[in-house]
Amino acid sequence: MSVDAGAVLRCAAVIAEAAHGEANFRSAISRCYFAAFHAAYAWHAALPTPGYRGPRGPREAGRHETLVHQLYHPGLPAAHPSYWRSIALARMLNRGRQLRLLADYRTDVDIDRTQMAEALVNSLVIVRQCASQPSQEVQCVTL
Amino acid sequence: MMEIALDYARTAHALHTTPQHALLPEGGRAPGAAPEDARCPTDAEAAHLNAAAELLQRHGLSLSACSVSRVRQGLDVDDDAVSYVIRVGAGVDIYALNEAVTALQLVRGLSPSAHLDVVFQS
Repeated sequence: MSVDAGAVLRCAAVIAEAAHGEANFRSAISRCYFAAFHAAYAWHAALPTPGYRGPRGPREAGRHETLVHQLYHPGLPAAHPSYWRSIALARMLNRGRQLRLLADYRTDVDIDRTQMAEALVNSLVIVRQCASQPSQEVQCVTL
Repeated sequence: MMEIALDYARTAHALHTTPQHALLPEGGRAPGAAPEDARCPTDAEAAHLNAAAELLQRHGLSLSACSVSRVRQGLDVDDDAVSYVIRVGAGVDIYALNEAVTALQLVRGLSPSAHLDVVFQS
């Protein structure tokens, strides 16, 4: 990958720092969500067993909804530390997805600086967690 | 987005939350303040909220001191997926809470999913 999740998140932070209106708030929310998505996607892809995709595949449900579903339904046993991490990432990524949908599609709904800050913190935590304990690393520890 | 009218208190606590900790025997259940949303939570929604309330209580926090929002997830009107966003304030380890609440949900027979769940935010 020519750009990583951290770089995308830094881009979101730059937009947020200079934000002076709703269009900027929306842009930062969208950008930081994609940082979180890419981090979570890479983390999940490195798991020894992928999560359950659900009845609707990525073609029907979309990659974002599918990843959330997979994280919510890990293919690992509960004894594996990544099992718990996966579900925590699922709910946080899903929250970021909700905010991103509002930011990008619901122009009739007000978006303010508080929501932008919430989205940024949420994405920051996801990116940090995915980086601090890569799933491959956990796999090595448990083997 | 439907806001539930609850007091919002900023808190700063160091949390030591793990799934194992969440599975410790209960020391008394405090479900927190009843949500005052125009729409009452369903039984399933209330059960998820109770799990979150218990986790908060175990760490000296209270659901009634948080801002709680009931959020419809999708863009479609007929999308009935719901999540409860619980804002605990700055200084709280939201990742630890989001990881620990799963065990409390599972032990109560609840299955967190994109269809219905709680999520902690700062």
